Formats: sequence, C-alpha cells, structure tokens
Amino acid sequence: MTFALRINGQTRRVDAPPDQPLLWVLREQLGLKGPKYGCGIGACGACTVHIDGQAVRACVTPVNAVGQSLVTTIEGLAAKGTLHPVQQAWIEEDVAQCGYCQAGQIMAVASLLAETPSPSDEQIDAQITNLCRCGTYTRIRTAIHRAAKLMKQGAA
Amino acid sequence: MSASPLTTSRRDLLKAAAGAGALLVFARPQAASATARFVGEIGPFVRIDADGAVTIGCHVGEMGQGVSTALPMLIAEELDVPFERVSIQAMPLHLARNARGQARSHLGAGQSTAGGSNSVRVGFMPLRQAGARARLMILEAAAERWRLPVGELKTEDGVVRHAASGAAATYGELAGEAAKRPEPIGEIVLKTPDRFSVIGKPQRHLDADRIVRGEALFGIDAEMPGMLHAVVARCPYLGGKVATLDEAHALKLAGVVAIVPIPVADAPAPPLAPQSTPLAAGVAVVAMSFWEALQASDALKITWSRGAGAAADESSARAYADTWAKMESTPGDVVRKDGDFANLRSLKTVSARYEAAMVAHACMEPPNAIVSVDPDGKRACAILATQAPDVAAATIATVTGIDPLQIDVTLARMGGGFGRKFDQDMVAEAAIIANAVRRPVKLVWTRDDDLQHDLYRPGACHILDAAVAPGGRILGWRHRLATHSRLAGAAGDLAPRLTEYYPDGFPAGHVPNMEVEYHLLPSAAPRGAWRGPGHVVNAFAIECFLDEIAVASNRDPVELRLDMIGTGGAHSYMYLPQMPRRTFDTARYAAVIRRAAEASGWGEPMPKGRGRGFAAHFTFESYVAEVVEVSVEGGRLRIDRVTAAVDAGLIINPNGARAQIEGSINDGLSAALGQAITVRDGQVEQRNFSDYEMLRMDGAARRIDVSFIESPEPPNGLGEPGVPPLAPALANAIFAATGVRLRRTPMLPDLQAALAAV
Repeated sequence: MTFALRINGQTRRVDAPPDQPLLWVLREQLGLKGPKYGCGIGACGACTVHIDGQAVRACVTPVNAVGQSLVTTIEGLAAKGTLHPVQQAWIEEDVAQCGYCQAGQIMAVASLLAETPSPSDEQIDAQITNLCRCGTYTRIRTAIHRAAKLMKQGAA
Repeated sequence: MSASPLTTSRRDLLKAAAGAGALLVFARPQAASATARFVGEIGPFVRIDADGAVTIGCHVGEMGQGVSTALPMLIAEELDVPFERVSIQAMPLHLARNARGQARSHLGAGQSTAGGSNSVRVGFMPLRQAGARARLMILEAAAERWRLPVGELKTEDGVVRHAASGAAATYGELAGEAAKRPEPIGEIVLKTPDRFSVIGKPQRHLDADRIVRGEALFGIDAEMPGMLHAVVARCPYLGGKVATLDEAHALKLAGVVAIVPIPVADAPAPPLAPQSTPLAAGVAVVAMSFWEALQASDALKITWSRGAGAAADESSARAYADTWAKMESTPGDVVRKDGDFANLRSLKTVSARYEAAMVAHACMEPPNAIVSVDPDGKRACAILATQAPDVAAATIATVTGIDPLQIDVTLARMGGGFGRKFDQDMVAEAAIIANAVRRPVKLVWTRDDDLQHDLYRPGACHILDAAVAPGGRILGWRHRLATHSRLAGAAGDLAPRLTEYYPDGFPAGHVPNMEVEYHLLPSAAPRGAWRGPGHVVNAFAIECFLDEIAVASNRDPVELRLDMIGTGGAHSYMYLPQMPRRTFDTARYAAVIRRAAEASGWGEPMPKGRGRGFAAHFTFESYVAEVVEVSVEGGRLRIDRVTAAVDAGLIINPNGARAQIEGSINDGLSAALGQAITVRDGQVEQRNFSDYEMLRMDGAARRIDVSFIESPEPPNGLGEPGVPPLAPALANAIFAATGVRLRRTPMLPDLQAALAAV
C-alpha cells in the first residue's frame, strides 16, 4: 500500500505493507535512523517518536495507524536547526554514553515537558520508562530538570 | 567538533591525505617507502590540514566508554592544540602481519580491542608519543623556515612562536612543510604533568551534539550499496539443530532472496578465534528488507531437534541444586591454598552461601553485522559494531577463506558493548551469509534472538566459611565456588579455575589460612565476558561475607576491612597466567575505603527503614569502594544515594570517568536487582524486556557522588571497575535498613518475599 506520511514537516510517500511498524518505514524507507530498534514490543522506548506531539513507540505502531497525524522524529525535533531545550540540556549535562537510547529518551522527555512543564521526580519516574543499559538515568533526571528550567527561561 | 565513522578504505584515506598535502603522523617512525608505511606500524593518528584543521584518529571502538574522547585527549595534549578545536575520526584498521604472522591492527598503539578496561591504560604512552612526534615535526619545519634552532621555539594553542624575534606561524601554515620531513626517530620527551592543559580537564562527549540530534550512526544504522537484510532463525534448544525445513516454502515468502543454513560446524575454530565463539544452529532468511526478513523467518516451516546429553532437557534449577550438593560432597580444583584452614576448628565459624543467576548483556543496540564478500570471493569488507576488530577480521577470514589483509573493516559506533561485542558470533553468521550470497548483507538480531542466544554472564554458587579469633581477627577463610565458566571449554581455552576467580584479590594475603576451590556449574548455554568478568559474581560473595563477619563479630564493616589491611602495601596479583603479573597495592585500597566512608557520612545515624552498605573491589588495576544508601518503605526499595571513591591513577577526562562510575552503579543495580536468565526444558526462558527485568528511571540511584583519589600513578581503566562493589554494597545496605540478608542475585524476588513475610 502507498502511504503519504507527514513527517518532520514534509509529506513523504512510501510503499509498505499496512501492518509494517512505522519504525521500519522510518529507518529503512525514509532513511531516518534516529529512532532505534531495541525490542520490537514497545518495551524499551528506543524507537520513541511523536505523533501529534504524543510520545509513541514506533516499533509497535503500524504504518496504517498513522493516517494524517503529524509525525516528528528526533531529526525533526530541533526547529530550524536550533536545539530543543531538552537536547540542549542533554548536551549540558553530558548525558549520553553509548547514545543508542538517547533519541528515544529525549523524545519521551520532550513530550512529558510539553504537558508537565515542571515534573516532580515521582512524575519522571512514572512517565519516563525508557531503558538505558549504560545507566545514564541519574544524569537524565538532572537533565530533565534543567530542560524544564530552560523552557521556562525561553518562554519568559 | 565532530566525530564520524570513516568509510573510505585505508588506501583512499592515504590518497586523499597525500593529495591535500596534509601531514600524516604515526606513533612510531615509519619505513620510508609509501607502500611499506603501514607494515608493522599503526597508522595516521594526526592529520593537520593547510587550513589548520586538526583531525585526530581514534583506533578503539566507541561503545559509550568514552575512548573516542579520552584517547584523542592524550594526543592533543602532546601536540599542544586546544582540544575544543580538534575533530576526531574513527580510523580504519590497518591490518598488518606481526612477527608471528598474525594479522593485527595498529601495531604499536596498544590494542584496538576494547576490553579489560584497557584502552586508556595501554594507549597512554604510545598516543602521547604520537602527539609529541607530530609537534616536533611542526617545530622542525618552523625552525627550518626561520633558520632558528628548534630549542628556541615554543608551541601554544596550535601556534609556533619564537619569543625573541616575534615570529609566529600556525600549525596549518607549517603542515605542508612538516609533512615533507622525515619522522623523528626514538622516544620523545613528553610533558611533565604540571604542564598538562588537556589531560585532567573535564571534556564533554565529543559526539554529544550528533547524538542528541539523532545523527550519530551505529553499526545497525550503516548501509552498503545493494545491501540485503538477514534475520536468522536459531534453534531454541541449547545445542540443538535444524530437524526439518521446507525450503521451497521459505523461498516463496515475500521479499525472500535466499535461505542460508547456519551449520554449527562453520563456527570459527581456534586459534583464530580464541573465544571459540559458539554459533547456534539455524537458518538465515535473506530478504530485501529487515521487515520482510523478519516476517519470513517467523513464517518458516521449520522444526528443531534438541541438544544432546544433559542439554536436551537442561534446567537451571536442577543444575544449581546438583552443584550445591557436589560442592559439599566433592573437593573442587584448588585455586589457592595458604596455611591450613582445617586446623582452625576450635575457632568461632561464620558461614554463608551466595548465589548468582546467569545474566544477559542486553546491549540497547542488538547484535548486528554488515559483511560483503566480492563476487570472486577474494575480498571482503565489513562495517562492524565490535569491540574486537582484529578478531572480527580473523573470523571473516576463517569463515570465507579470504586473506585477512584483503578484508577491510570499518568500525562503527556501538550501542553498548559490555563484553557482548567482544565475541564474534554475529560476525561469523554474517560472513557465512555474505559468502553464500556474495553480496553485502546486514544481519540484525532481534531482541528475542539476543536474550535467547546471548553469551551469558556466568552464574555462581559460593560457600564461604570464616574462622574468627575471639578478638575478631579473621584467621581462616574458605571459599568454595562454582560458576559457569565464561570460556566455552574449547581446545586451547584456559581452565575455568584460572579465568573465573582472581586468586590474589582481597582478602588473599590478609588472612593467614585461606583456601579457594573451584567447581564447574554446568550449562549448555553459551557464555562470554560481561562487564567485569569474574569480578562481579565473586565480589558479591566476598564483600557480602565480610559484612556478615563484621555483624557476627560485632564490628564495623569498614573498620574490619581497614584492620585486615593494616598499613597495606604492594601485593603481586595474577591476572591470567600468560600475562604479566600486576600489582595490588592495599595501601591504595585502604585509601579508597577510607575516602568512601568519609564522603558518604559512614557511621552517622540513620532513621528507621534506611541503611548504608559498604563494599570495595580491585578490578583491572583500579580501586573502587562504594557506599549504597537505601530506604525501604511500604515494601518499596529506593536507592537514595551511592557514594564511590575511586583510584584509577591519573584521570584523563574527569567528566568521562565520572560518567563511567555513575553508569556502572546503575548498571550494577540493574543486574543485581532484577536480571536473571534461566534455562528450562533445554531452552532459555527469557525472550524480551517483558520477562527480563532491567532497571528503569524509577529504580535508579537518586544521587551519585564520585570521588577520585588524586594520583600521579599511570592511568587505569574505568569501564568496568565501578560495577563489582555495587551488588554487595546494595545487599549490605538492605540488611542495614531491614535486617533482611539477601544472598542471591537478582535480589528483588527474595526481598519482596522477605518483606511480604514480615
């Protein structure tokens, strides 16, 4: 089937089986390698993208479920090249080690902060469930709080 | 700054560099002829272009351990350029034959293999020499241009200056002339530490910007033109085989191009692959896309046979029970024997048993490999996320019969390694497939493949007995342990008693009567190196047991350890029999123990339901002590704080070093609390993150404080040493908080059961 997907501000046409997960459409057909494969069952979050601003696990999202929704991948998070405050905070706290899970972490956090601008540690615990085997969680938590501050400064 | 994988062959790189008139500098003086330049040498670590751009090569794979920052820092220091202006490039392998005829990369630069927390330790001197050599060539070019003695010139921030005349030239302006000069011979005098301007200054991860933009490419992201995709259906039974396959049906599935059997006989044999990387028997489905390959492999009409002998219906529960019984009834292999433990029967005895499950690596980037074999079968190239590129090339050579020097390997960033990407089973499989189809093939393992067919970290059983004198001094220590050995037991492998326990680790040398016996814990599941191999499971037992002895003798656990050490001093430490002995300096060990205690507020009273636990360990020549602080409320465990004190000698990048310890602490928590691989009915039971419990944000340490001992000693590695003390410090903290003594990893099931019973 042919799909016209709205991804990172562009309409992209792809031919794919309707049940093919969005992740593999992004990675293999559209060359967007930022979303990563980690588990294929929505359990690790490495593939997290935004669909209409909501964090979604692309490895369990069939391409035919996307419709006309706006898809944002990590490649589209920095508006006109300017880093999103979450990306900026990630650099300032030097969060990444291997970096494989971080695109998914950043997308999950960007979505969290859009709805909860100053999350408590308990809200972070409950809502950021992406896996990181390097164990960067402690810096991720600091970076989330820093990003929240950056966003407030940016809005002021 | 940027770092990017290098996709040109070494020949192309040379041509490109030569065409640009750039300066190429080697870590050792090179043979004069261009064709011989790489023979026996290590390749261009430094390139300075006419516009002043400085590129530093990194020859070790980056997997999050920070080598692509720390190693170039060593070169930049002696080259005398600001690190902020440097870009880093992953280097091609430059395979060449060594004196023994083995194909090895980067001869003379230490090793390109990332393992044993070795990269910084081994690269420290040769990489600084490479930087110093490049700087000297630039100085000589300036001296010739200005007709001045080299000794009157100084470098600073990438500029050569002559103070008296005011002459100045940038490295870029001098690069063309410097490149024509012969390389200096011999060792160059290096900076003294008081003049360091790069080493010891915190640097951020050079790839941070690309990572947060999703631009950092890993092995699984790489492509080759005309590439096919492969997924392997592997036999779920340990040691089993393919019984039947409807190949005609398979070839009709959507997108399928070829079906390639993966016979176990194709596994690389020693001595090329000393880890004797075991392969699971299976069938590779080669298709136009990963998704099609995956769908087709799920749709295969395939049946499997079980493994032979004990593997046929192996059960972890039975194997552990049998092993516990064997350890009591049968003497094991003697690992160490000092004095006579049996003579101490009259003393008070403390005894305990500890158990560790097997665990999987579960790198976030699953195993993958891209291999291409030319149609004539004479050349191959590969893009690999591997910790051991030399062994990878050797593996491809063994599988395909191609001369290793005709194999180009490009190192890709690894999405975690932790020892998993040290082994080459995924490379062997990809080479088998590519050799069959003679096209580029990307093999990707699913997470199910990964958890079902990992090379697991050995599990363990420990029986510990101590004889304690009335004053509290430990006079006798008997440790009977059984582990799955991490080597597979192939011809040429070391005996497990040599690889699974470090006989000179603490408390050896500090207890007059000490006996250690080793038994094999049997399993047909393949095993491999997992971050801190041997150290993690042994430190858990030893450091928990010291805590139990302290409690039984009414002593403070930190004081107990410090009393055992006394003034401390250098002890000879066997790493592996064929390797040089190392030094375990217990004065340095005592210093980290004291520092961790001070920094954590050890001994200060804590409210009910909270507790601190202590542990220390010496891993790969680095000393780490950790204090874990927990609270247990309403049946829920929280890790409030972990304090680590670390002596790894000179710290190259304090920020990266701290990240390694922080990560090790959370990784240690993850493995200690929830992870277990179990075998039942001849198969591994766990399949994905839904039944293999890894730490997430809610379970991570809320606060981590890392304190490095300032040391003039040469640097040691930090990728692994932070892990071993974590599990015992955690168990000791949980005991302090709750009175529940956990003696088994993963701990969470036992903790929950104990708390529910209260």
